[in-house]
Formats: sequence, structure tokens, C-alpha cells
Amino acid sequence: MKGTAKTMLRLCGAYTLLGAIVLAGILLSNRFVSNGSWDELLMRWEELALSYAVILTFLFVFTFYRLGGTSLPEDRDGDERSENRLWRRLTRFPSELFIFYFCLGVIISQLYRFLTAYEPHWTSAQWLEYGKGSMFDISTFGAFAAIHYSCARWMLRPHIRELRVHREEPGRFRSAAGSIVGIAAIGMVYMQLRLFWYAYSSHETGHSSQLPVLFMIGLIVFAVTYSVAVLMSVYLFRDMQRLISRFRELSRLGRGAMLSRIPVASPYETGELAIAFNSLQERFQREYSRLDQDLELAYHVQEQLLSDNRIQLGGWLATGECRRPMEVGGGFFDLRAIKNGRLILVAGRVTGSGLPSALVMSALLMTLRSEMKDEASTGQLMTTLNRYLMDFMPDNLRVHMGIGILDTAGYTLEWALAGDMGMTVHREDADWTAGSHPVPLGQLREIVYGGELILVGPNDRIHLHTAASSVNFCPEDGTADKVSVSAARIASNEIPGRRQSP
Amino acid sequence: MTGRRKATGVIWHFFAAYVAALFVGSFFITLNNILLGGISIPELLEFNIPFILSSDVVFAFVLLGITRWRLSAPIRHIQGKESGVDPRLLFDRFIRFPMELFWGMTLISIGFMVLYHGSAILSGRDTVTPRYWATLAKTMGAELNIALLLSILLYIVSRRLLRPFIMRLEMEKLGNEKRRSAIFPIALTFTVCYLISFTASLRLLLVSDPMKPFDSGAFFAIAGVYTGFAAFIFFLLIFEIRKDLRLSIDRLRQLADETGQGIHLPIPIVSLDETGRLADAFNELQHRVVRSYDEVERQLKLAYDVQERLLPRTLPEFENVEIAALCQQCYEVGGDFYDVIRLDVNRMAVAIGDVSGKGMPAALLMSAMMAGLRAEIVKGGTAADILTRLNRLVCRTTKGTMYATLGLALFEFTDSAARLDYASAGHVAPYLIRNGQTEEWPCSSLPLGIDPDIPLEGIQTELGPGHIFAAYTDGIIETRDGTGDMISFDRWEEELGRLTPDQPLTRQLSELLVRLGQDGDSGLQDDRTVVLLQWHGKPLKL
Repeated sequence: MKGTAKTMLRLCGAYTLLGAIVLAGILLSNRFVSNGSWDELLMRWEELALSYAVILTFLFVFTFYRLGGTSLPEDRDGDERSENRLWRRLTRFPSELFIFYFCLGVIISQLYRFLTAYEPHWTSAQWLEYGKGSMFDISTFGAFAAIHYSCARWMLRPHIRELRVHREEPGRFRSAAGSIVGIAAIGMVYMQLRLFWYAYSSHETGHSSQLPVLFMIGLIVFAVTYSVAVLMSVYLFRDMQRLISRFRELSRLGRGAMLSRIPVASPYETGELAIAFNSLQERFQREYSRLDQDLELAYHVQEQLLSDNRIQLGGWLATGECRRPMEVGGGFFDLRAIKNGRLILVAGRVTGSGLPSALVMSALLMTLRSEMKDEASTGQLMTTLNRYLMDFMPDNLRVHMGIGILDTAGYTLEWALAGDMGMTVHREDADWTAGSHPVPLGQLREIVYGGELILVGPNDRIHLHTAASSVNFCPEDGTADKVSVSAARIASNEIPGRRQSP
Repeated sequence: MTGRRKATGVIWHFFAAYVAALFVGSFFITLNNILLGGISIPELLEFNIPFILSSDVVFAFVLLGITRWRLSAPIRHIQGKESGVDPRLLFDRFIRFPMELFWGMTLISIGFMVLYHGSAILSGRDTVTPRYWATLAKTMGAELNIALLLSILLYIVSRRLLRPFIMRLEMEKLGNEKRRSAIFPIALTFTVCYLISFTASLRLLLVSDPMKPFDSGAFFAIAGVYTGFAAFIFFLLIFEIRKDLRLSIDRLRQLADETGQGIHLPIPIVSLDETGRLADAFNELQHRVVRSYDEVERQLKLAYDVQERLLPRTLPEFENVEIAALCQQCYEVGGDFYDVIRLDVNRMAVAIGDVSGKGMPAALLMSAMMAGLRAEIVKGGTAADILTRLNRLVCRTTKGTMYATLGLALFEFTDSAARLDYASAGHVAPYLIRNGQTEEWPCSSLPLGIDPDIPLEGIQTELGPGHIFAAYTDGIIETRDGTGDMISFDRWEEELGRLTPDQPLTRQLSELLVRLGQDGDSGLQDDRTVVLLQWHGKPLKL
């Protein structure tokens, strides 16, 4: 929490500014509402300035006392309790400031009244004057406490939003609606009291009430009350707008991220709503925890089933990559060195998506490895796999697959492709592209796939990948895995890196 | 009660609200006239009060007519459950009605004000002097203020009365309706409330005579009544808006409560302002969450089909040999498997396995394991040879991170005996049931996938006529009985001892599993598989 000290200083600046406005308001009120003379005003100026300096000093001390030490350490991991404590302190502060300001103002004004007007035996007129004055003080300090409340709330909001508080006791929330109505009521009552006081004072001095002054009272109180009450509504609905935006953001995220919780930024209804939402997200997480854990574990299992994504043999480096839109899927590759400096490159994908494809893929991969004999040929391997798949594969699934056997010593590449697969040999002069057998595995039992042989040069780069053309990369939908295997000669001093997660 | 009658009942609620609101308005106008205008009650009774009351009657019936026109059919549709009406149209009608009422009331009020004062001027009841227009403007300002306040009151009341119907529509998504903000009615209501409170006191103060004693009582009475009423209206509006918000909070709490209703209920949209948009955004999020997990569950169902196909769909038939097998996964898919493969005219392989874990990850390894097993079995060798090769393959594939137990039995049926070659990789020992006597047949080693160089050894025996070979996975022993305890090996052996050569083995297996139970109400805690093979001991007819 950076900038809490800065905020405290800003709050003190705001108190000073508001204090100046209050002083000016009281003096103007004395002049125009209470019909006081300029001489009287000059006499009161010093007393008021002194009184307000005392109030400001107390406000500064109170603010630093309540908000001092509210910074959080930079490393906030696992520090939920301290964030909750800080959240409570920051959300309570505006109300505490309201009470403190109101009580302090009333106490100081009462002291002032007693010190300046005390006599052993007050007449009924003096008691009346005292009562009216006190009523005036209470309404004035109540109104200004509300302004200070709103100011503090406005200034502390950014800090409250920074906190990562996701749960809080429901009893700690207040009603913004109640506060808005309360402020509006205080404003209207204050306006009536000011009107009464002005009219009464004017009447006592034998004057009639002046329309411009009455309008000015109404306008100023309206402006202040409107600002505070409507600002509170704006805060409330802006918080709601933030929640709406957050919900929309979450909707666009992936499955796991959609269940993220949202920080509680308000001590009012919107905060309560965020708490209820977070509780629901927790329930969603609990309900779906088995699926999420299973998917995560299945992802790791499938990663283990794939071979290392790098293999080096006879100066050639083969790499494989499988990109999945979901945790598990039907994409696979295999890189295997067999005898006589031969390197088997396999890439493919089971159609469909998710776990059904992954199950077929894992069975296929195991059979493939079992059948990868040293004397294996690509066509024979493909034919054997096809027959095996026909025994159990559902009718709606197919396997698009390519196998290449690179003789790293003899510089030949034997290959066989089935379905929507592509293989390109990138050469210095022109690329060579292999044609794929149109029938994928798992479609026809008796089909025999044949292998073909080409010569490769030392500078050639072999690229075997799912989908024959990049235009038609995901023929079914956007959820198909994308797999590719590449092989190229490497310089002797180039050291292949470690296995990386696809 | 029919839908039409119920709809009429609601319309009369509206009528009562209109009458009450108009009465309040008339009260304030009369109060203005008496306290601020200084007009006596007899004077008011001459024209003012009869006009206001007759206006109220006309007003109430005009509003009733508008309400019937706008709301009768939609309410009937909802209450009578009449079909064929697009709920969005009904929603649109209900949601717009309070604002329509607000503007309707305001415009009609202005019309009546113009009519009243116009008739007063034209009939000569009011004398038009240069100061008259200023007085008229003040009067009409005050009346307009009251009219606006009443319009707001009707807006609030109609929102309240229509909320149950809007909720019943259970709208989950906002369409292309014009979005509004609740800040506008709040700001407008506060302004109107403040003005009515202020202008009442202002008018009193302006007409007070400086020569007479200041009438504090009259001031506080007027200020109290007007301010109290204004604050009450503002309170009603704020708490009406808050009620929409509380509805969302309460629904979220209700959904979060695990003892409550389903988790997938949406928040009904009841307004077009921020609370409505919030419900709309939440419903969209919830819909996406549910859809994404539904997709996973759909895939699990499809994966179940794939796994079912991996398991033998039909068991190979050998004369005088009876085989029964059952595999129950505790989730949609799992890690238990078995296989029965014909190797030759008189040889067959029976395998049973259990992959560590449950659910999706176990299913992935299970399918790999079955594929590897089938590929290795056809290469030949003893049971121990096959498992040794398979172990190397599994170690190479899983890199020592996962393991599976497997029991493999190779049977060779001759005229006189059934020779059994069995090897196990960490699998629970099978049983041989001979004449009702269960005999555990221990033969074990480390599971597959742990050490590629581990030596696996097999054991051999012969089955006599009527003897039963029983292999199973540990999920059987972990089945919980009615008291919640796992069934013991003793119980399992006791149940196996009940198997007889006289009854079909498949039926006996089903009955056995029923007797063991299914973990009470919670379903299976682990996958469980049993394979039984019985040789009847007669010469084979090939």
C-alpha cells in the first residue's frame, strides 16, 4: 500500500480547505443570516480562527493516529488477515471521522459558548439564545461532518480497492441507501433551520426576510447536500459498474480463471454483493474441484505419455511441439532413435477434442511404441496401427498421422502420411512437399498404407505437421490440437536444450 | 380465480395507489392554499376543492385507463400462463411502465394546472394585474413541484407493484433495451424533494408580516410536514432501488448456501439500471461457467464410451470354459481394466489391471496400458516375459512417474487339464476356488512402471474340472458395507467360496457384487473389477 502517507497529507489538506470554507461560511452567515455588523465579525474572526485551528489540530492527530501504520509490506502473499484488518480500518475511518468531527465540533462550540456567555444566572432569553445556538451548532457540525465523511471516503477508495480482501463478516457492511437518505434528511433539516434562524433574526431586528438571502441559503445547502448525497449514489453505482465490468471480464476468461474471486472494495451493499459472489465462486470451486483436479492431473499424465520434445542423433536434432486449446486432447508426437542411426519422427492428432481423443491417443501411442521395431517401416507401422485402432475406436473419431524414418547416416527419409497431414522438406533451392494418403486411420480396416523414400541433404530441414495446409489447419473447429515435428542438422558445437513443456 | 380476474385485482391495487397519491397531492395543495395562500376553507370550498377533487377523480380514472391499456394483457398472460407471448415483450412493457406513468402523470398534471388557471382567468375569477403573473408563476411552480413529487411517488409504487410480475418472467439476459442509470431518478427525486421542502418554507417566510410576532409554530409545522413528506418520498425511492440490489445479494447468498437450491439459478433481472445490468453480467458469467463444465462432463460421457470400447465387448468363447467379468468405475472413467484375448485354438490370456489414481488421469494410463498389453501379448512368451517387456515399455513411456498393477494369466486347455501360467506386477493375489475352498495364490512383484530392470517371475498350476480362477482389483476389498467399514478379505473369501459350478458364472458374479453392496448412498469409492474363469473339465470340441 503505497501512498497512504500521501493520502493522509491530502486528507489534512482537505480538512484545511474545508475549514477555510466553513469559517467563511460562518462569517458570511453571521453577516447576512444573523444580520451581524462587520465590527462584530472582526471581533469573532480571531475566536473562530483559534477554535478552528484547535479542531484542525485534533483532526490531523486523529487522522494520523487512525491511518498511520496502515501500509502493507511489498510481499503480500498469504497475508489475508492483515489485509482484512487494514480493510476494516480504512472502511471504518470515514464514519469514525464523522463522529469525531461532530463530537469535537459540538464540544468546542459548547466550550466557546460557555466561556463567552457564561453568567451565574441566565435569563430565559439567554437560555433561549443558548438553545438556538446549540441547535445551530449541532446542525452545522452534523452537516460538515457529513462533508468530511464523504471527502474521506472519496480519498480512501483507491486504497480500499487495492486490497485483496475476498471475504468479510456480513455484519461489517452498512447500507449506503441509509447514508444517502440520512445525508439528504440532514441537508433538508439544516436548510430549514438556517431559514428559520435567518427569518427569526430578521424579524427580531424589525426587518423582513430578503428573498436573495433566502435563495442563497437554499442554494448553498442544496449544492452541498446534493453533492454529498448524489456523490454517494455515484460511488455506489460506480462500484456496481466495476462489478459488472469484472463479471464481464471473468466471462471472457478460461474455465479455471472464471472462478476467480473479486476484491471487496466497499463497506456498503456492493461490498456485500462481492462477498456473496465470492462465496458462490467458492461453492463453484468445491462443486467442480474433482473435475478441475482430474483435468490437471490428466494434463500431467498426457505430458508424461509424450516423448521428450528433443532428440539428437548423428548430428541431427529433432524437436516436437504440441499445442492444445484444452488441458487434454488428441494431439501427439513421438521421437525415437532406433538402430543403424535411424530416427523415427511421428506426429498426429486424434479428431474430436478433450478426454475421448486423449484416451485414443494414449492407446495409440503405446501401441506405436510397442510396434516400433528396429526394422520397422513406415507403411507397415501405419497399417498395423490402423487395424489395431479399428478394434476399439468410436465411429466418430479418426486419426490423422504421419510417420517419418530418417536415416541420419544414409541421408534418406522414409515417410507415410494418413489423413490431413503435411510434410515439407525445406531445401536451399526449393521446398519439397509430400502428399498424404487421404484416408485417416480408423476409417477402413483393410487399407494398406505404403511408405515412400526420398533423399535428404545435410542442409535440409524436415517439417511434419498436422493439417496439410495452414489455411485448413483446424478443419473441424478451433479446438483441434496443433502438432508439429521438425528435424534438421545442427552444428557440432550447438548443444540442444532441455525438454520444455509444450 | 382466472387470469383475467387476478389481473383485474392487480389493476385495482394500482387504482388504490393512484387514489392515495392524488389524495396526498390534494392535501398538500389545499395546505398550500390555506397556510401559504391565506385562503379560507369556505373560499376554497366554493371552487378550488371541488375542482381538485373532481380532477382527482378524472385523474384516477385516466390513470386507471392507461394502466388497464398497458398492463391488463401482460398481467393476464403471466397469471393465466397464457402461451404464445414473447416474455421479452412482457418484460419490456412492465419495465417501462413506471417511467411511462411518471411522465404521463407529470404531463396530465401540467394539463390540469393550465386548465385550472386558464379557466380562472377566463371566467374572471382571478383578476389579472401586473403582479398576478408573478403570483401565478409561483403558484404553478409549487403545483408543478407537488405534481412531480406525486409522479415520483407513483413511479415508486408502480415499480413495487410490478416487481413480482417482472421476477416471475425470470429474465436472465438484457436485450437491446435502452440502458438507464439509477442516479438520474435519485438526483431528480432529491432535487424535487428539496425544492418542495424549501419552497414551502420560503413562501411562508415571504408572506409573514414583520409587524406581527414571528410565528415559529407555523414555520415548524409547515417545514416539518413538507420536509417529512419529501424525506419520506426520497427514502421510498432509495429503498426501492436498494431492494433490487438486495434481491441480487440474497440470490447470490442463496446460491452460495450449499444446503439451499441448485447452484445454477440465475438472478432475475428486475430493472434496466445498474442492478439489472449487474444481474445480466452475473447470469452471463454463470452461464459460461456452467457451460464450460458441462462440456467437460459431456467429454467424460464420450470418454466413457471410448473406455467401454477398450474393454472387451464380447468374451472369446471356448467350449467348457466359462468366463464372467465385470468392471465398475467409480467415476465416469477410471483406471481399472481387464482383457480376455484368444491366443490360439486352445490358449487364451486373461489380464486384470489397476492404474494408480481414479478418473481422467487413471483412464489415460489405463488405455495406454491396455494397448501396450495387447501389443506385447501377441509377440508371445510366458506371462512373466510379457509383463517384463510391458514393464520396460511402461517405464519408457511414463518415466517412472506413474504405475499400474497387472495380473496376467495364460491358460492352455488340454483334454485333461487347464494349465495356468500366471505372473503379477504388484497386483493383488488371485484366488483359486476348488470345491468350495478358496485358496489365495500369492505371486507378486513391483508394479509396472517403477523399475525397468526388475525381474518378473511367473508361477504355474493346473485347474481341475469345476475349479474357478478369480482375479480382482483392490476396489473390491475397499467396498464399504452398510456400517461404513471396508469389507475384509475374510468376507471376500467367504463370498468367493459360495461360487458353485452348477450356476451360470455371470449370474453368480452379478449376485456377488450385489451382496457386497455399493458403498451405501455415496456410490463406489474406488473402481472395482472382477474376472472369473471356470473350466468345466470336459474334452474340448475344437
